[in-house]
Amino acid sequence: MRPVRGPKCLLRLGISLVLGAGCVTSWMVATTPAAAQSLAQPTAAEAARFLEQSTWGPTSDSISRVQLIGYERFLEEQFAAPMSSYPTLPLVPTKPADDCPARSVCRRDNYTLYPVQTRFFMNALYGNDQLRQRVAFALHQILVVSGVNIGQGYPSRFTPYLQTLDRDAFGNFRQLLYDITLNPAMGNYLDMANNKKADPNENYACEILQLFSIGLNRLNPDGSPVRDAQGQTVPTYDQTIVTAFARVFTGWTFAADQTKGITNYIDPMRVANAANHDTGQKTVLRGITLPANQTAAEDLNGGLDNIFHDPNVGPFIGRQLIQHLVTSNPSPAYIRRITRVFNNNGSGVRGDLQAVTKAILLDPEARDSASQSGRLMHPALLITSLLRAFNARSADGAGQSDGYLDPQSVSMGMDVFSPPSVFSYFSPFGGVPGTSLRGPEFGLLNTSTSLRRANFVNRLVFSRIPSNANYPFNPSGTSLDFSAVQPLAGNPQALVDALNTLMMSGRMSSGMRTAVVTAVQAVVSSNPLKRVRTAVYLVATSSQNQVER
Amino acid sequence: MTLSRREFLVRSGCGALSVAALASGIERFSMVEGLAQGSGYKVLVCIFLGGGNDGNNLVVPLDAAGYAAYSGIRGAAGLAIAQGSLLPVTPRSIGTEFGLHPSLAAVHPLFAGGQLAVVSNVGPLIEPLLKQDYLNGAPRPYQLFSHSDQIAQWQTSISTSAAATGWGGRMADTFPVSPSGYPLIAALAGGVFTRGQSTSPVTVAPAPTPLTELLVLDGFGAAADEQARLNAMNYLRTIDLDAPLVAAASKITQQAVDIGKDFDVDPVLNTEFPATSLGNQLKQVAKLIKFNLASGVPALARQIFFCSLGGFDTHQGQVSTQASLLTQVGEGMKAFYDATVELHVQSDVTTFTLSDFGRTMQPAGSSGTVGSDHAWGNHHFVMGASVVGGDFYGIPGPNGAVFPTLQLGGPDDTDTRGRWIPTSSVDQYAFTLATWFGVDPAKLDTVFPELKNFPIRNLRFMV
Repeated sequence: MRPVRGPKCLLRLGISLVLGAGCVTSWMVATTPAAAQSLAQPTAAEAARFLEQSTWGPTSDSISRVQLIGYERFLEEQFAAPMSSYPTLPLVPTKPADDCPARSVCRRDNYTLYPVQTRFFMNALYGNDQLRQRVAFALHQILVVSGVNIGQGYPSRFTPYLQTLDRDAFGNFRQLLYDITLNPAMGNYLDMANNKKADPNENYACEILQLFSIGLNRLNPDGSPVRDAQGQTVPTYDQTIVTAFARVFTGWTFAADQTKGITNYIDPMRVANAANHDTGQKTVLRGITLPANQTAAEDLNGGLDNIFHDPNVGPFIGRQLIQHLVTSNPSPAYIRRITRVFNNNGSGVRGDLQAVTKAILLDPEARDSASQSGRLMHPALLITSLLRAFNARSADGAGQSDGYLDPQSVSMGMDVFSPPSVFSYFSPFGGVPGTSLRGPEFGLLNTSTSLRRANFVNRLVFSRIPSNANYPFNPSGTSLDFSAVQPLAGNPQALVDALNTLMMSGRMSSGMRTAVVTAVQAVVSSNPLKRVRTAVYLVATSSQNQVER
Repeated sequence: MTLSRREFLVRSGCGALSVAALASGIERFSMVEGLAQGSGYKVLVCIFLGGGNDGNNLVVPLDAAGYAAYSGIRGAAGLAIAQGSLLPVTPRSIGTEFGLHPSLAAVHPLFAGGQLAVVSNVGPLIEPLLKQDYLNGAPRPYQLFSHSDQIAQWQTSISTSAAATGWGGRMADTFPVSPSGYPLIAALAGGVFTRGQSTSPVTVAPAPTPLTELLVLDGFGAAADEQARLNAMNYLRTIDLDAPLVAAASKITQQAVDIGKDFDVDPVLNTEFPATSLGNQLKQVAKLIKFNLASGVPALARQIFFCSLGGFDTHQGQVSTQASLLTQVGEGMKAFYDATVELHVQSDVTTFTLSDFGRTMQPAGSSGTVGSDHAWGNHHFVMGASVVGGDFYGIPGPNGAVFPTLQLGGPDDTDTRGRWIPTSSVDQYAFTLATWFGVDPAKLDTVFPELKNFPIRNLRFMV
């Protein structure tokens, strides 16, 4: 899992930036007017901005890479990059054995989400398939399984869900719906597993409609709500349709045990007893009926086709993917362009997520910084962006971070893979306080967490997350490596300009630049590390940095 | 920049600032003081039961006919609570016995003691709604039975469209702003309830975090270069405000820094709280109340707190899950009531529950995995010495009583699964609390814009 490396000449460019303090390289140029942008040859700032949207944070290498090959080829590389993946873990008994006591490595690796959470951060920090990981995490936030409930809070039960998201992130949305519907962790989480004809459970039916596919209200292709003659929004479905889908989804249970007595959370769910499926006729969305006497699989596929072909899916899912990658407030025209690609990738295929992702990132509105208000980083992205900018290291600097970063994210309000409910970590409809704008990530920003963000930055910038050999959760710890920028400490302006490109894709205002430079100059020049730390702290804690736009 | 409360006191006390500079501050300060002297201290504490608490197992009729109806629907699937294990209460105005969920032993004595009341079959409504109206398509809250929408309706008291402000925040909007900028609403958990037009809640961590560590910026020493860094950081929050998301994020941080300066003591309570999620939230509320009374400069005359406990979405495994959660609720509420007694504010503090919705009377699934699905009307608790406890409250339904008829497809059911059509609205429930809280009557229609649709406004469960 080595980071993407540019060719040597570009690597040298990065170094020349560092060594040649004061000389202006393309890497240091702050901003270029949008009109002058070219898709083929982005500036360093433009490349960084693209990477803020498509990776877990720009690095000097990835900036160079995008500058060299351009956006489209970078995307092609990303689409082709091998998956970082989440390794399948052995299923374990529900109750830990006596030789697997609390605070043991055994307990850590089999009964907590530690292995998948650390893997998530390792993939984000070091994986080549940055875009896949970013899109998969967005899909996780839409098609939610949470580890908060004991049922799926075991890493061995959770990894098949994450593998599904990774595998389908650039596949077809219909396949994703199918795989997620039959995923055993989802089956447990939203009670589709063992949903029987005799007493159908509405949980999965509710959420696949409301959250995973079409939402509550009829949408125009540009994401705006359809209004009736009275100006009222038009519901996409009512309780009768929820009840019908609850019946559609009857009959499924966990696959046969691999080890007797241990529920199979690895393989997709199956129909063990056809009599548990309700074979009556069902009226689903848009008045379409699923005929009587279909098998559970036929009804499931018919039901998923019915959902997948609903015209709401494009704007409903497209808008959320835009929000996760680019901006909290896409224009109607932007959403309409993405809906068009969702509906038809150009080759007549509906639901092509790779085409949708590409369209979102190459859209003029995504590439033009002036046209959008941006998006607040969520805590996990804040963590990875800071670490990736400064070569995430172990506490002693000798190796890689151990990825044990979820507690940092928790302190900022986001327990990775354990959102509070199926409504995820924050609502896509959430507003920005005091405005009429949407700002989903503001759901996690309050007086408490805003200071915890700053304190997290303080910890990493001025100290480190130590390793602890006596406690098996952080074997290596985590620290930042400022060696690449420290040579600039003698020239505060050059230092701040370099950080502006690397951390803020060139959007730092002159007022902010002056303030940071002044603070850096207050540190004696004989202490270059403290100068760098001062600058990085101020940039990383600023709202100007945490809102990526 | 807003003065901290201490700075305000110190500066106004020693006359460091000119009278002119302080004029607006003094005016608001006096209003708060006047309010405090005029009508005493009052606190509302909201406990949100996330996921939709099953009220049908919170309060169960114990008379022969009532229990038979209950167990007839829930018994076979294993969702009925045994008659003998329910905790008996006799609502004053009804006369027959009901039983509280057996996990509520901690608060059970408060019902007979007169500090606990039940508001029965309450939920979001646009106007009073009978079953026939419902079936005929009369206006009803948007997106019934959906978590997010019913949560919003309970917390905003607006059922016609999604609203950006909650009724806690809008109540707070009607009171004068403290000169320190310290808002009278504090959130221990997230929710639109706390957001007003002009009010943003202070969000704080639960116990055991000491108040002195609640809102602290780490890493600044006295050295000149660190103070320069602090100055720069403070300055960065005041620029680039033309970018609305940047401005909003900076404003939140600014509020945290301003308020954090005030928390310089960590009050000690003698009351023991359970070390649970809700217990820790309510303990922090009690500490914040004590801080306000002992150290607040000036003490706020009104405070609103929002706590939340999730996990009530019991489609499956309800029997054990709800029992465990209600134990937490009962023990947390009782400890909190005891703490208000310790602080001599039990008559000034009223605690109440909200939840997404009630759940279907008809079980979902059966035996070991039995649960229940999303429904509508629900039963809720109100607790405090200013509650007219020991009774059930609400608007009488088709059967002439405040408690619904437990019959699938019966007069209170939307369909055939036992989804009760509420007879009392969130607006009426909230209005009753807001009236006790002392919201200016002239402003109540702004706080509760849909209340005008209900001929009866006050449910009379408060003194």
